[in-house]
Amino acid sequence: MFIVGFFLSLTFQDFEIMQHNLPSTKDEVIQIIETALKTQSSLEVVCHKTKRSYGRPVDADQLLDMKNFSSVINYEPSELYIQCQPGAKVSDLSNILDQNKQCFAFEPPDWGPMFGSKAGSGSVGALVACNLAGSRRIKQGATRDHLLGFHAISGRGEEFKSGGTVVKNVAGFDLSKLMAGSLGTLAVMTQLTIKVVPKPEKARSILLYWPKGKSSDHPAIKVMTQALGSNYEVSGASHLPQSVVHRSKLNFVNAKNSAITALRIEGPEPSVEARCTALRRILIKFGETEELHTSNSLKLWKEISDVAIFSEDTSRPLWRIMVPPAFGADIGKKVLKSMEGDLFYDWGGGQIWLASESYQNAMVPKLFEIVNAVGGEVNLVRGSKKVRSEIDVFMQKKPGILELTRKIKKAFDPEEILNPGRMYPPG
Amino acid sequence: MRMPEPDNAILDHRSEIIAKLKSFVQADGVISEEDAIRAYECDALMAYRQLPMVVVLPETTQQVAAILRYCYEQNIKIVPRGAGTGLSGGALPLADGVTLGLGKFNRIKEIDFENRCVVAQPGVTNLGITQAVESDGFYYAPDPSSQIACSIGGNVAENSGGVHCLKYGLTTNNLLGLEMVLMSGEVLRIGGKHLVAAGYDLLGIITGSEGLLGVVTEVTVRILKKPETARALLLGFNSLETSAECVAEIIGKGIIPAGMEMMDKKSTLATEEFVNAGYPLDVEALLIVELDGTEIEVSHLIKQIEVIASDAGATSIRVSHSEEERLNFWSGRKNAFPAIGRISPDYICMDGTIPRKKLSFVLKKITELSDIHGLGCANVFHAGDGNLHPLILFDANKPGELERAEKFGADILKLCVKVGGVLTGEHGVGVEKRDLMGEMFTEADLKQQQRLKCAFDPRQLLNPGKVYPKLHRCAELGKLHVHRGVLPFSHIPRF
Ligand SMILES: Cc1cc2nc3c(=O)[nH]c(=O)nc-3n(C[C@H](O)[C@H](O)[C@H](O)COP(=O)(O)OP(=O)(O)OC[C@H]3O[C@@H](n4cnc5c(N)ncnc54)[C@H](O)[C@@H]3O)c2cc1C
Ligand SMILES: Cc1cc2nc3c(=O)[nH]c(=O)nc-3n(C[C@H](O)[C@H](O)[C@H](O)COP(=O)(O)OP(=O)(O)OC[C@H]3O[C@@H](n4cnc5c(N)ncnc54)[C@H](O)[C@@H]3O)c2cc1C
Repeated sequence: MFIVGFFLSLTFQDFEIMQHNLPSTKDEVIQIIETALKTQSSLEVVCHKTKRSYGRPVDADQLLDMKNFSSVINYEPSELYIQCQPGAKVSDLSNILDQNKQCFAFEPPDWGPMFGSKAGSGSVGALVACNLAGSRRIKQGATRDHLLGFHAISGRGEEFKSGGTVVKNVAGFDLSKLMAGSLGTLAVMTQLTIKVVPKPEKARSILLYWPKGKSSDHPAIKVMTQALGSNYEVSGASHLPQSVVHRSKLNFVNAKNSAITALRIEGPEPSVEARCTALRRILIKFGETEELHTSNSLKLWKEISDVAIFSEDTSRPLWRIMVPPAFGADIGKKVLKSMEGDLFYDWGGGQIWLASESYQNAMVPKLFEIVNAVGGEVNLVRGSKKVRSEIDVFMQKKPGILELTRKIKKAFDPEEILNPGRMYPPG
Repeated sequence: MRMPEPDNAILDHRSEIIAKLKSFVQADGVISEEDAIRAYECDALMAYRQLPMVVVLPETTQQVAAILRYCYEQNIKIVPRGAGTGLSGGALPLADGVTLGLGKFNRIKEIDFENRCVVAQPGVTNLGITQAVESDGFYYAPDPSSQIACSIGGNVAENSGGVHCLKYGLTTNNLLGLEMVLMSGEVLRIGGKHLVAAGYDLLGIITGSEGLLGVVTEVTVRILKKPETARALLLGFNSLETSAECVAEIIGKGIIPAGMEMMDKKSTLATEEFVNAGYPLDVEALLIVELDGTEIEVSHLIKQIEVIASDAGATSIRVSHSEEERLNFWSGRKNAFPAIGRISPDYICMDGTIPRKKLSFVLKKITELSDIHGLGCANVFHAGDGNLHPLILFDANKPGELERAEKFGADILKLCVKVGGVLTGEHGVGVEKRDLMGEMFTEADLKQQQRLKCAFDPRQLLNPGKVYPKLHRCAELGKLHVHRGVLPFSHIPRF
């Protein structure tokens, strides 16, 4: 029998007492969902709760805690996949992969500290549910590109699966894509199969230190565009304006107090050396450069992917802005005109992380407007519970998309008992 | 092949429907004479043929929307069609259906080098996208063998792959945005030139949906700079097992080549006869491994693979030293289908994926099945990702051979599923594998997929009879049966 208890949980602003369901088998999950259907109660699906404050606040009657689903089911290095339960910790999986010189290609970021949780405590279920990706997204895609298959229990209380363990698979609709990023609003995942790849033998990053003084955002985007449009297979392209470099823990980044553009190259040693030299030749025209070797390079991209630069002060609202990469600096400039804060660029300019000084509802429409003009999207990643329940955290979708979203939700969870309101306001 | 029963009420109104369609598009955009619609009676799975009720060839999104809205209101079925190169019968017409051809959507709308993407209409060919950007050194990575003919819209519908998807991913990994029209006539735009981050992944779910969810009217795909160089190795082995071991060893050593293709003896002999690629003829298995990237990287990896291959017992190792030689290595593999077409009056191409480690086991079983069914089989595969293409040889003029070939094919696909693989790696389910879906999925799995279909197309008018063996009404699928079951606790209010 699964554990049912009462449980005191601390969220950002309030204490709450909710019924706490802690299943260990899929049959128990089915039973909990069936019961919820019968009693017309809703469930907040959680695991290690590191990203509980991401998305809209869920207004649910009970917790469905999946942390006991923590095993690795099957890892076959030669078949390039790992199969596990959703409660397994990403950091544990990464260690296991590391021992076999493998990794997840999409560079799972650790968002925990950004929300004030302990580093390394995020679950793989949440990683999938939030469809996260690190700086390598531009070359290797996000979680959605690497989830090969899953088993889940729908909001109907029925077990279903999709996909498999192989990459080439077009049998039926690709529900793995839908599950990735669905924030637990469609089904409760009980088993996941994720693609793994050989770890790059070497990594090198080139840092370009921009002359101090005027903003380097525009030329930096140009440089990144040139690098990403080259055939040097750049696997990370980020720009840290002068205003944020002091937040970095890396000496290479914070020492000179000037804006930095970082480009990463990975692969076999001789190739990395050659590509680095070639790229450095392009960059040297703009300022002083420095090369980071594998260990420092790992630290830098972890800091960028984890948004560690904005982890210190968790009370600052944090926005994530996705735009066509070449427009990054334009958008950055416009945004800072209407909103006080700091930002930096990842994905060659395609992802902007903005930590705003304060929060005013009035700023939001302006922000949406700026981003809409170039066909991008904005998410409020971190914000107080109050704010997250008041605004469209994931930006107002066009009516057609919103309607389709609701229909898809109903197709999996007709009574809307799973994470109600987490993605869009309910109703 | 059992298809949904044609609706006589629709067929009775054929001339009225034709007249109405003519009001939506230009005069030459509606094809209704029997001679002319015959060109649309099948896709590249030619064993199944059916004349459509009528063919319509719109040119604009508004026209597609008007046609779909009208058909939705009148309960008329629609079969979307790209270039008709599909190998699973996805574009097989319905007797009471309108075949909606996207051939006139053939323009590249925008090339954006800075954001590294191309916006194209769905009827542009896969190769057409590369051709539009190659003068600037860019290309579109997914490269199905049919790339000169197949449409990018068809690629999205099938989530097509190619020999280079081992390194560069499938269509789904290279798509940034699209415009599509729902069966109701509503036009939706999804994604764009940015990387989508939040909301249900509609791009992901539409890719590979085989024309069942919406009609794609525009795509935005990612383009990449052409690698500095590409070189290939041609490796011969005296058994399929050693060849499979070599594949495993390459991946085990941490190398992901741009492509890794295998052919068995029968395919090797047939293609050599056809294109004179200079393949060794005394081998049981031939492996083509391609590396791309910088000169230094490619020669570094080639040296490593030479060692791996020779340790694995390769009986011949050749490395391309010029672009001409590299293309020559590929010429046989790229022409495998027509080459097989020359040694057998007919063939069907199967498309299962298996875990790499099961390769030699499955090949042995296929040889056994070949004896049981009394039909020959030649094998080519995307060895790097375990995607098999057994080509079953038969003669449709000999009574019973087509049926035997289909049985043989079904046995192969069941075997793929049994060893932990899947029914189809890249050609889609269509009508061909529709009735085998139960081998891979439970009734609950299939119903859940169909519920998703209902969210897009509640009247099930878009390409019905494809992919799913049983049509359930959406109202039926939506019903929720709350089971008995004791309540372990009563409802506790939140406070
Ligand atoms: C003289 C010197 C200079 C250094 N300069 C840098 C630097 O610019 N950036 C940085 O991030 N770290 C630098 N380091 C630190 C060193 O690279 C790291 O401490 C790290 O531990 C090396 O491991 P890795 O996995 O990062 O390197 P890897 O990327 O695995 O490189 C290891 C290989 O590179 C060689 N190597 C390492 N550093 C250099 C170098 N600077 N010049 C030539 N060959 C080298 C090693 O001998 C070895 O063959 C330097 C160290 C020394 C002794
Ligand atoms: C010789 C040969 C080699 C091949 N090699 C490969 C290969 O290497 N890899 C591979 O993956 N495939 C391969 N194929 C299969 C085929 O080319 C692909 O599946 C291709 O993507 C189909 O494109 P099409 O435009 O011909 O689509 P069609 O055959 O016209 O249609 C295919 C499906 O897509 C739907 N569809 C088409 N256009 C749209 C649209 N705009 N909106 C919504 N639905 C649409 C149709 O309804 C149908 O279900 C090969 C085929 C042949 C004949």
